[in-house]
Amino acid sequence: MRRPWRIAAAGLLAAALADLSSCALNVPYDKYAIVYGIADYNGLLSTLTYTDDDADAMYQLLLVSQGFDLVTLRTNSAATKSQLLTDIGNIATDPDMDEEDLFVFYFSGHGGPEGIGPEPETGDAENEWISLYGSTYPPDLSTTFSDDALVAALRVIPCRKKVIIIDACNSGGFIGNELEVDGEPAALAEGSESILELAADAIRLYANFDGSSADIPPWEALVLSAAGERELSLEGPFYGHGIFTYYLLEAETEGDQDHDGWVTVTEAFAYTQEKLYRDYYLGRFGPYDAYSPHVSGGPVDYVLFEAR
Amino acid sequence: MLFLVTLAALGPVSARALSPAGGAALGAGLQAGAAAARSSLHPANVQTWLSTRMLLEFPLVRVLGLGFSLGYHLADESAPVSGVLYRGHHGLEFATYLLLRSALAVDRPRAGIAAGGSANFDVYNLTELLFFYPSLTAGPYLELPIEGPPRHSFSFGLPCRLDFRRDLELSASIGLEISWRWYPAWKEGT
Repeated sequence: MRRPWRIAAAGLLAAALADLSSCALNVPYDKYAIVYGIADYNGLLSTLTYTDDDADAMYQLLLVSQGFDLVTLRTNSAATKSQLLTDIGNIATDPDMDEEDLFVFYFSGHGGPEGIGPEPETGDAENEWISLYGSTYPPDLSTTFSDDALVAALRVIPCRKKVIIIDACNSGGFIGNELEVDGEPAALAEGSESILELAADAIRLYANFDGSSADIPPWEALVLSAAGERELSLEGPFYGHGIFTYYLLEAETEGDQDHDGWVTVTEAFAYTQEKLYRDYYLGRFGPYDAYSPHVSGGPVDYVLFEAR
Repeated sequence: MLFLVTLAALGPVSARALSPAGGAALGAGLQAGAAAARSSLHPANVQTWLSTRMLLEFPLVRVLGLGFSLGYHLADESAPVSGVLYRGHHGLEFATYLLLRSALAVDRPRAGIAAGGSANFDVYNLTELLFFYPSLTAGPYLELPIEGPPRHSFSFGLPCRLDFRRDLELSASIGLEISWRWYPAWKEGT
């Protein structure tokens, strides 16, 4: 007599849990994005081919497929530093934005390190930068955004969930992990540290952590970069995009690794990393050009896409 | 640390001289439970976790033992709430702990409390981001000896754990543990 009662109770419990689960998966917040892509640098920097197409495609994905509430797209000559500051200000003052909302900044174009030659370790105080329209080399502050300057500019946006996606050379240098050591090296060609060295570094970071940061720490924004701090990021006709962006666009449909209906920043990272590794391994681009995406550390992750 | 190493070295001697508790024990354990995590920016959420460990324990005096364990644990990511989830992670833990317990006998269970600390080296799931944090664990357990040489016992525990994560305001967990122990130096009647 008791068994049917137990089965019924279990069924009710399962239904209740399923209902709770579906409630938890709602997205009761607004989603904003700023999307910049620059291919034509007006002759001041080398012309790229697909970076403005990257931005167009990301704009379509976020606005049309993902249903973002507001996506600002700027390409080529419209994508200046002053315009970016204006766009950030407009979103920051949007009366509908609150702390629960999601903000995504996507950039595809030139990037680089502050200095010339070998760089210090990741998490250093040395800046990397992205080049807006009108940039020159070496970079000047009026047309480029360093990692520190970018995070300072984005700080006016009141939402807590911020994601910065950069498809540019040396973009891993924007990541400011203060408690994690990255087993993925800043340049694949340099190889990794040994596990003991990594463990010792992890203890050192824990012991020395004081809440300060260089670059963009995970509590300010999660950064998903196309390349390591000392790597180039490539584009190619086979893809019609930057290679990282090509796979990032795919991640909407292919990147939901745990099949929970959402593609998080970490899942998007893992998907693009695996795909880039396979392409390098298969020789679609040569070992000399091998590079790998990187992602911020930190205990939290954000939903980036709804899986399609 | 020197104190602990000294205790460990003297453990077997102490066991013979002072304790009828069956000598040193080798064992393995399996734990599962739920953890609560809360960052300074986002609401708390729950993660489930699972861990396994190998253990080596020495009696120090009649009611006190010292243990060392090497474990592997994994925590699932939390369910997303308002687009935020706590990352899953997995890694190794090196622990040492004290056991305050009643005397061991074949014909009756013994109760105890285990308390100690661990050093954890974890990697966030799907990444190669390695991080370190220490933890404290304490909890009661009940050990049930099984008759017949070689002497074994099973124990059931309720480990409560507090992680000292520097990027979380709170990281704590509670779980259930089942352990198996083998006492190679067990003597009947001790």
